Amino acid sequence: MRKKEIDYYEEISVELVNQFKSNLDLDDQHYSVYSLIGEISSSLRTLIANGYKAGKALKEYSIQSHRLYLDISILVENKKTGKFEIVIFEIKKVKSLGLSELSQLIGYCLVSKAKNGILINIDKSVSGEFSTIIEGDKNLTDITRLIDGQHINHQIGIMVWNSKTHQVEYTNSGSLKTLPQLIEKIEKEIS
Amino acid sequence: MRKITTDKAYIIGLIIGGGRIDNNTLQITLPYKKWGDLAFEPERAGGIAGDILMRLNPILSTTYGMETSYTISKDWKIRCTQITETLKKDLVQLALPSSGEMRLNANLKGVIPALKSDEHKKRFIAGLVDTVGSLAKSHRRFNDAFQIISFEFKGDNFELVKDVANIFHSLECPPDQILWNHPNQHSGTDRYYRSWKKGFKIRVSLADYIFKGSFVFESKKLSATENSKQHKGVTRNKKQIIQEPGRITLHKDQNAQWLPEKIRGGLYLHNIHFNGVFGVKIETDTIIKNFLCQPEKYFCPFTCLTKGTREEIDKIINLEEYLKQTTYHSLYTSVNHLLDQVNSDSNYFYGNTPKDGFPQNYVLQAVAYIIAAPQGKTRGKKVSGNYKDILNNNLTQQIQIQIPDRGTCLRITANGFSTLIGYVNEEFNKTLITSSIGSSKITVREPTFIECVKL
Repeated sequence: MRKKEIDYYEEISVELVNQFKSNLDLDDQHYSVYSLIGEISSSLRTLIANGYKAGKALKEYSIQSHRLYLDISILVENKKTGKFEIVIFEIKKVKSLGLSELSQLIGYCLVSKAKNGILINIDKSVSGEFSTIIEGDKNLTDITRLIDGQHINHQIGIMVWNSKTHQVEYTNSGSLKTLPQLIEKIEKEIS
Repeated sequence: MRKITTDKAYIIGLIIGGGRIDNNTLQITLPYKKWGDLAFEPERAGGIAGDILMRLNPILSTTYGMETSYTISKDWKIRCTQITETLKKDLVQLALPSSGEMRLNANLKGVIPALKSDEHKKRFIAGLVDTVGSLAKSHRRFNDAFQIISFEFKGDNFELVKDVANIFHSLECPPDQILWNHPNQHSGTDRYYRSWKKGFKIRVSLADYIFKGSFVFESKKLSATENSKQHKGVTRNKKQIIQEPGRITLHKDQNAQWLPEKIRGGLYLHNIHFNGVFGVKIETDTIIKNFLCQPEKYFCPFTCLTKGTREEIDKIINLEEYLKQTTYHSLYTSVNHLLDQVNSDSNYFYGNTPKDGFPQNYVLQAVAYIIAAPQGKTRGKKVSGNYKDILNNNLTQQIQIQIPDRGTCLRITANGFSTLIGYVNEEFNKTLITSSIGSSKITVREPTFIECVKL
C-alpha cells in the first residue's frame, strides 16, 4: 500500500534525533533532544508531565505557546543554561515544493517564534523554478523581526527525505544548508 | 580531538576509500566496473549519476565548499579541482595524508577518536560503501542464502583494514570473514604461487549491514535490497562455528619484507587466527586456541600442491635445495590402478606408516589436473568441474609418478604437465616449529634436506 505523508513521520523523526544527538558536542552531556509529533504545546506539556525535567523557560513556553499542529518538531534543551530551541520540520510528499509549502512553514516559525525551520519533501527535490525564486531573494529564507525591542532571526532550509536510504539529503536551497550547520547554530544559540 | 560532523564522517570515509590527492586536486574513484557499467547496467548507471549530483555534490559543496565533476570510463571518477582550506585543516587534524592514494597510506589513529557516536561510524562506513563496498551478487557465503557486502582494499595497509574491521565490531556488525593480503590466505596450498597479493576483503553479512549500517548512495541501497531478497532463512550473522582448518603450506614469501613486522614470519591457520594476532576483535577465541595447541596438524612445510607445465616444475625443483637433492624413482601406472590403491586405512600414499605420506586427495587432484590441462579443461590452474569425474572418465590414462627417497615432494607427470605434492608427517612437523606451544603467532622454520624423513 502506498504510504501517506504521515506514515513517514516516525522514521524521519528517528533519523533527526540521531543526527542531532550525534552532531551536538558529545563531550558535554547536558543536552536533551526530543522529537515531538503533532500539536506542539500539548506535546511539550505531555513530555513534562511524563517526568521530563524541563527548565523554567521551556515550562513557560509550553504553557504560553499557541496550539500549532506541526508535523515534526525537535526540541533541544541545554540543561546547564536552561535555554532551548525548537526546530520545526514541515514534511511534504508532493511532486515539487512551491511557495505555498514554504509560506506555511514561515507562518509556523513566525507564530511559534521558532528560529529555525526545515521544509522536507519526501523523495523529491525542489523544482528549478522554486530554487531560482529562493536563491534570487535570500531574505525569503532569512527573516529578521523586531518584537518588543528584540530582534528574532528566523532561518529556513529546504531538504529531502530519501525513503530508500532513510537519510536527509540537501538541496542547497534556503539559508540552512545542512543538518550539522543547523545543529552547530543551535548549539551556539543555547550555550 | 575536535568533533567532526556526520557529514564530514561520510566524506572522510569516501576519501579514505577512493580518494587520491595530487597538488590541489582531489579525485575519488568509484570502482564500479561491471556493477555500474553504462552499457550493461544503464538504469543503475543513471542512478549512480543521480547519486553523485543529488547526494554527494550537495554534501561536499555545503560541508567543504567544493564543487565536483565526474567522468565515466572503466571506473567512475569524481574530481574536485580545488581542495579548500577547511578540508586541508581537517585532514591535518585527523592525521591523514595530504597527498597520494589514501587507502594505501591512511591510518585511522586520528579518525577513530573523532568518530564519537555510532552515527558517525555509520556515516564513515557509508563513505566506504560508496567507494570500496562491493555488492556483486557473487559475494556470498557457501550459497546465495547468505549474501555479503565486501569491502575491498588493495596494497599493504594492514592497519587500515584492522581499524575498519574493529569499527564494524563496535557497531555490532562483525565481519563475517576478513581475507588478509597474505600468502597463507591467498595461496594456502601452493608454496610457489607468486601472484598472491590480491588485496584485502572485509566481508560483512548483508543482512547485518542493512540492519546496522547506513547508505548514502541510493543505487547502493537498491542493490543491497535486491541482493538481500536472496537471503533464505539466514537473517543475521550468528556466532560462527569454525570448521577445522585445512593444511597450510609454508609459503616462499612467509618472511617477505613487504609484510608488516607484526605478522612477518608467522604461519596463519585461519582468518580468525590472523584477526587475533593482528588485533581485530574475535568472538571465537577459545576455538582457535584449540587449533594453536596442535599446530603440527595444520601445516605442511613443503608445498601442499603445485601445478604447472613440466618446465615450470623442473624450474621449481632446481631452485629448491631439498627438492634438488632428492632422488626420485619413477613408476608408470594408470589412473585406474592408482584409484585401486585408495583405501580407507590411510589418507596417504607412499608413506612409512598409515599416518605419513602424500595426501591422497591432493594426489588425485594433481592427476586430474595433468589430464585436464592438455584438454583445455582448466580455469587458471583449477580443473573445470568435479576432479573425480575427470579421473573416472580417463581411467586408462598413463601417468608417471616420481617417488622421492626422502619425505619432500612427490612428482606426477603426464602430457607435458606436472605437479608436486608435499609430504605430511606431523611428528616431523613438530621438529620444525620454533614458537612455543599455544603461542598465537606460530613460527615454523624451513626444513633442510638432511633432516627430511627417509622413505
